[in-house]
Amino acid sequence: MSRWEDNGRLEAELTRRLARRPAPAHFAGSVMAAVRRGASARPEAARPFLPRPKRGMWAAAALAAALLVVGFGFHRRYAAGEAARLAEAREAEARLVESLYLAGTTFNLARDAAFGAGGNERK
Amino acid sequence: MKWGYDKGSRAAVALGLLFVAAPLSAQYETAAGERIEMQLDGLEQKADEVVKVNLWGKSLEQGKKLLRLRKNVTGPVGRFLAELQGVYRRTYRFGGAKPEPEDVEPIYRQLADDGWTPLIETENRKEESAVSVYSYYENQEVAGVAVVSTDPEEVTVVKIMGAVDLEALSDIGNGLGLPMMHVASTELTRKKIDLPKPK
Repeated sequence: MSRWEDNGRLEAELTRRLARRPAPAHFAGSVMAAVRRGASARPEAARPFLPRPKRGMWAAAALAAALLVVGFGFHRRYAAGEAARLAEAREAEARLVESLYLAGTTFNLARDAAFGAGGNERK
Repeated sequence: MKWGYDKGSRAAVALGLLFVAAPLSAQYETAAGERIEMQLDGLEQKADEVVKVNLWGKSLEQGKKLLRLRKNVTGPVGRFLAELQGVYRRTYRFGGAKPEPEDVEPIYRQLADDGWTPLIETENRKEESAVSVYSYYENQEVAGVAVVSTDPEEVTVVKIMGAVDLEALSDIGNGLGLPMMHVASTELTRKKIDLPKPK
């Protein structure tokens, strides 16, 4: 009697173990099919039964990686530009507030001095 | 071999120059029409500190955008900001050498030459200080307001371009959530009054 004769128990054990770690879908099924056909259940023997990468998969992966790198580069540049623009805007806002405030206070002072509403209170 | 340009090449070069020069000249015209283009060499040489603010176009829009985000900006000031086309400021601060009347006089002369009309002119001879308000009209409508504030320690000119509402300008401090004070612009620095930082 072969050590793999008790296929039900083996399949249950294999499924239980594979459930604990990442494995391609139907890996346990593929291995068990190989076992039933008399092949060894060793992982290297099971490799031919694993789903193979489809044609163009490597090209797609390379393209995705390249896009990721380019996207990351753009993001860094864009983020740096955004920060610079925000700093410029804040500077412009501060200058605007300051200048308008100076103009407003000077206008009030001139108006009060000229029309006597409170007079010139600079002393 | 003779190195030169034939008529076609010359025409192409001229056309190219025209394409390059046209946008540049248009940009200069827009900027020059609104900027404070004052020749204040005397003040510039004597001043210990010079502050120049030119806010127009993109920089002004950026500043206005952030300013409008403030919670305490009131309606009149919001409308005032919407009409704003440019803010130009020159501040000269003096530590040692004081500005002489002939240093300040070009400000008033150049404002008059540029078509600015005096609205209010006040002078405190005892303190050697003066504050003036000018307005600029286009098609019989206000297109700008300028304020000039001078004393022995500081000279400030602020030009505000656009359909300026004087009531809103007068209330700009309250409209921006800042306390209004009866002080000249020159005294803000002296009294170490810090304007709140944008949130």
